Amino acid sequence: MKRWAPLVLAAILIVALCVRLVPAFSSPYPYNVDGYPLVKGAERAISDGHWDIGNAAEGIERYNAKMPLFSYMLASLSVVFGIEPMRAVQLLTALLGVVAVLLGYALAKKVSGSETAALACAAVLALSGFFVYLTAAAMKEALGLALLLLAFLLYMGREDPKHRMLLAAVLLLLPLAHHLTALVALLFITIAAVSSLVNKWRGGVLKAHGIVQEIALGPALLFFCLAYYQAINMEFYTNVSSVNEIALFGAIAFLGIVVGIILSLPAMTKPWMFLDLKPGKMPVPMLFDEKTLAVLIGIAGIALNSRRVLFQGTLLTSDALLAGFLPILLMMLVAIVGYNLIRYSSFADKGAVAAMALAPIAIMEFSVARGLDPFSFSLAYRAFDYLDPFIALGAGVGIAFLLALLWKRYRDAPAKRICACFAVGAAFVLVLAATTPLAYESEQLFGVRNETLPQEFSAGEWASSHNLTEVRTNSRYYEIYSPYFGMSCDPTLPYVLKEGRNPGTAPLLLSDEWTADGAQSFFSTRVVVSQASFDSAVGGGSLVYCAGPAGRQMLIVLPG
Amino acid sequence: MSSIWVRMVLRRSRRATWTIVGIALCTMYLTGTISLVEGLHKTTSDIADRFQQGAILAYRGDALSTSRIPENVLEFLKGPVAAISITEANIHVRGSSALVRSYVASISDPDGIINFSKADAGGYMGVNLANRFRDLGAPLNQESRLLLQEGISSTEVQVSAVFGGGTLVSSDWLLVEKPTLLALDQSLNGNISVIVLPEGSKADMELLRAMGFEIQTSMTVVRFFELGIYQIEGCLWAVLLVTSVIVTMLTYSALSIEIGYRQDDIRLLKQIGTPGSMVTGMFIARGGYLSIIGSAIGAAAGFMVANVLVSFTTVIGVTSMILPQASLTSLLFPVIIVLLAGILGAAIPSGIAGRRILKEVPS
Amino acid sequence: MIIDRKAAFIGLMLCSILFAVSVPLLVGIGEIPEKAFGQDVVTLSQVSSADPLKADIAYGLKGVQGVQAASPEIYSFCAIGQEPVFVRGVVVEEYLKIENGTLSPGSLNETWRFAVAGTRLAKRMGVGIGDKIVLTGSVIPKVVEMDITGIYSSPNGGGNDLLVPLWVARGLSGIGDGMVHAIRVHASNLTAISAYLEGTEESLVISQGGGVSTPINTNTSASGTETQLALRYLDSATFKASNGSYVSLFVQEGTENVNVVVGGFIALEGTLTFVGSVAVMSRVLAHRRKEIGILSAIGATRWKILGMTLYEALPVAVGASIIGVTIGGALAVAIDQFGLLVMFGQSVVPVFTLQIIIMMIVSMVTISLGAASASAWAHASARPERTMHESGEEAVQQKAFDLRRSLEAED
Repeated sequence: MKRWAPLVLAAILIVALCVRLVPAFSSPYPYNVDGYPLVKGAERAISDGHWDIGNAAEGIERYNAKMPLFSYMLASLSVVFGIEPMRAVQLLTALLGVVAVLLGYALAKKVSGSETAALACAAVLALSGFFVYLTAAAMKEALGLALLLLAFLLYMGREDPKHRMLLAAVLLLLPLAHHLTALVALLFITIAAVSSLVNKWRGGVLKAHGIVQEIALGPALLFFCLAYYQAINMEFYTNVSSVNEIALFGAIAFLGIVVGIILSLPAMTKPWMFLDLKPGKMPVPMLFDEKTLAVLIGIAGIALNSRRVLFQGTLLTSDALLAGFLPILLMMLVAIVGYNLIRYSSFADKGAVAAMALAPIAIMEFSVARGLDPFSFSLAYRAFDYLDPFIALGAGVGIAFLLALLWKRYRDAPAKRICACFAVGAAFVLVLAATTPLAYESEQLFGVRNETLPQEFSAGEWASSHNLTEVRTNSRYYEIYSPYFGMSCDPTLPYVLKEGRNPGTAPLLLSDEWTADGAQSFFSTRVVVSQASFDSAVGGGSLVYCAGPAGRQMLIVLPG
Repeated sequence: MSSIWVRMVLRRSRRATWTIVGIALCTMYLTGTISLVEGLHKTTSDIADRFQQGAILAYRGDALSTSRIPENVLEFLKGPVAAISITEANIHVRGSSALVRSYVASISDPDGIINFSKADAGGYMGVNLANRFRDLGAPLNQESRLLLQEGISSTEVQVSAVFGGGTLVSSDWLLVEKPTLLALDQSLNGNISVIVLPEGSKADMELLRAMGFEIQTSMTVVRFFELGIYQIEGCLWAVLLVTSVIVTMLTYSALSIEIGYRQDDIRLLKQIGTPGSMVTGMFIARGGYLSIIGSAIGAAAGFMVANVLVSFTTVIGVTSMILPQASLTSLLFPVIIVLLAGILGAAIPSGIAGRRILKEVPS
Repeated sequence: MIIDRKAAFIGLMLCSILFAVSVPLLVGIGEIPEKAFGQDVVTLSQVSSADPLKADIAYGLKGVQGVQAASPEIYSFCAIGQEPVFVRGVVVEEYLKIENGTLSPGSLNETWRFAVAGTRLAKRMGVGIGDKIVLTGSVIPKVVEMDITGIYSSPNGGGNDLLVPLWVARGLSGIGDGMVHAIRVHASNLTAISAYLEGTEESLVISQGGGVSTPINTNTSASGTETQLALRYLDSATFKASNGSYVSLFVQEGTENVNVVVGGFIALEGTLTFVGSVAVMSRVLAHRRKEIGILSAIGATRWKILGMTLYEALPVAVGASIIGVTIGGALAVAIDQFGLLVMFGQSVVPVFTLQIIIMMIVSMVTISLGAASASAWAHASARPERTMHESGEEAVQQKAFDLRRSLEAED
């Protein structure tokens, strides 16, 4: 390791922690409504002293109790440091993000052997807006991603029995952390294991115990995960349980394995085979080969979704999000260069690197093929998040290659080479930094406000302390009050008010924001309620609670 | 020798890759289209089941008037039920020469399934039967008496009302009480002609179907289109049969080209004294190996492409309800066809080449 | 000689046969609605819907100059057993005039209660004169028993329907007394018809062949196709108001499904024929790779070899296509004669217009020559010494490089 490397790495990790803690300055509550059931789970774990799915209330809390790892880490952190789970949740998520960055660094170092590539990979994970968002707002996914990166790293060193056993432990833990991550890990480990076995077979070094080890301590472990999810009736998996969908998933996974095997073999064809390329013109087409098309098709799909809803019943991609993809596209192109360097190199585990991309791509393909509905939409965009480690690794290697190229090219002009390398490095960091604000602009990007305002939380506290067990509200407040305060919530109030219907006899929990910006509703656009309907709902009962500034005011109305 | 054999079977080359791609394309086509056609059937059937199809009729044979069902069959049925007894007869109007051959029926409807309020009374004539008498110069009125005659049996009935077209029963029927009907047709004694079940009586319907009754719903527009779409499937299966011949031919060609290029290997193997059966066996194994890889990839890709195609129809504004079906027919049948064609495509040319070369090479 | 003509001829002919069997049948599927509602005659119907018309208009039209026949008709979509049956309420005499149909010997001259089955339908259902059938309602619950009183045949692929009296059809389709869905007219003087219809003050649309339509006593226009589709898909206000809106939706969406599948088939069919032809030509040229290598070695350019291949392939492709299309056509006609392909109760009759025949031959010749060009180009592009000596088995492998060294800044 170069002497300056630890300092740079430490700086990257500090930056990574800081950018993930930015939301904590505006609100102490979880940076996503998904955090409330997890905090509740942690509080319940502290009070009960054990894990019991049956103790959790039906609905969101029960669903989260089926994946309790984050809640238990939060509970442990809380007990050890004496911080309330509600205050510790943002810190724990950010720390998991930093761990993921550190693991990304180690992975890139392991694959490429280059310090520069490893640091560049860590920088991508530390600053890339989508990854920052993911590891600050999506708690279970942040934990899942850290474990997944650990699994990638351990898999690359699986020849060492200690690594192998640790990998097995991680694979067994993943289902308790996050369901989609477990599925990505299952696909990753299957594609990687099969391509590794095929390569060994081709090289004539395949042994029976090698097959058993590769399968039994790899994909087979994750089949336990499926058995666990089946036993606890995991909602995510029951959505795709028909024979046709299982066959479709199997078909796509099989194709993923085939592609994984092909990508792990020595290249059979010239890049852009339909072009009559002369041998001297190989490097550029080799670095930007047909895989570029996949990136462009993906971006074209997102661009198309910004003009026409592809997934019925969901949102258009906002222009702000589309603009945010431009630096990502640049990063992806660099990642293709980096990946192709790995692909055409003598690196042994090329299949495993390919599997890091193929696993989430297979899930995205599955979501598109099974029908363009809201569930597929959520599956597609969540699976996209799992491409980040692959992009970071590829981009790290790509940037290191570019820097090395410049360094060698200007070997006779030291000043020039320092300037050139500095310029490329600075441009790289700038492009990355340009994406970082995306992590804090969820309202502009997705129409979803992540942070909880104090009056929103205190309204829940008031309702809970006044024994309101049942309220009618929108889906945002449903996700806060139902799991955390244990209230029975009907999230359809904005639709009822919009259509001018009678809101019924349950207490109403509403915000005057609904008349201007609209009420937040999952997957659909915000539902704007007319002032007249809103006034009639408020005037139709007794206003018992009102807090917050105008435009963000929280109201509780009792019937009659 | 055996390791050379295995090596030659599994040998990797650019041409072999393209052969696999060709085979995969063929299988993809077959799997994709078959899963779509099966999807069309399944979706049509599922959707048709959700529509109103009216009361369910069960009878024996080809016609209502000749159907005779013992009344005790009704005891096996769990849900509400109505019964119609019907026969054909000559109907005369007393005091005129007008005669019409039509249907005389009696209805028992304790649960109100047919919703014909006058069902159990007697002498109600369908409006089109009445019109027929009018056209024949015998207009009916409240005092009109009808003479009903079938073979040597006859009876009389007075017309008390005329019913219109808004009922389940046809408007050329004359409805009478059961004793009147029995006087006309003794075969209906202890028997009925038609069992009528309310819509949605699945269990009773299946029971009657199992007992060999003809089952028909009283509203068949949905059934018409359901059966019509099944007929289209017939067309599509025919087209598929035709195209699977192309696919077989294509796979045969792909493999025979592959073997055609290996004539030098065959010659070499013959020269070193390899038995002909072993050479042919090697190429059959090579054909099988390439076909099985190609067809497995093709089957997976075909099912995925079919799903993607259907998925994206919503983007171009076509509301498609098809859900491609994964079944043994859609996933295994194409693989088997292609595998057989591939093995033949390897066996025949290698056999021919082997024999030809055998003549060339002195033993 | 570059091409093995015999092998090429047989292979391409097979592809042509398969192409020629399926294309006319697939086109035939698309023509079913037109056939059912008779584009070759004038059809009168309500604007854009299947709302009923007064049957009296048809009786009045018979007195109009130039009208040879006016057939009032009611359409009911029924199922008898496992057979979807298009039940047409008609006045038999008028219907047969419109369709140029004839009753087969033994048919009864019954006018009050008759059921006349088309020859194709009778064959499919296995019924004859004197047999009884049970008809149930189309869009309203109904049960009717009928005797088959006659069998009719009509040219041009007709003979798929069951003809019943208008009063029976009204019972099945639930339309009011004295009303019909449409009136089809055989007439030489359309102006006289228009003048008569204007006098009736009824709002309706006259549809003619080729999709031409004329609104009468209304400003709303609808194309002939729209009117047909409206009738076909039961797009009537009364029907929708009762229980039919979902059925109408089902039928329209179901038909869209069929169109998606049939369209996909046609596209894949062409692609597969092309791929098949490429395989045939590759196989044929593969036997001549050494000759091609020699030609290259003695200085023939790729274009020259391509030209020679096309020169030799053209007569083979033309011959194979003509014979293949002829045999394929004959097979398609045989399939039709055996009544094997039926859709919505209508026989799928393969369509053989001059344009389609020419299109198929031209397509097949183009596909064959395209395939020959692709294969010849591939062979001619290879270096002669490889074409002549190499078995083609050699794998192309990139030389792998050391990743770590390529990322090291130090030289």
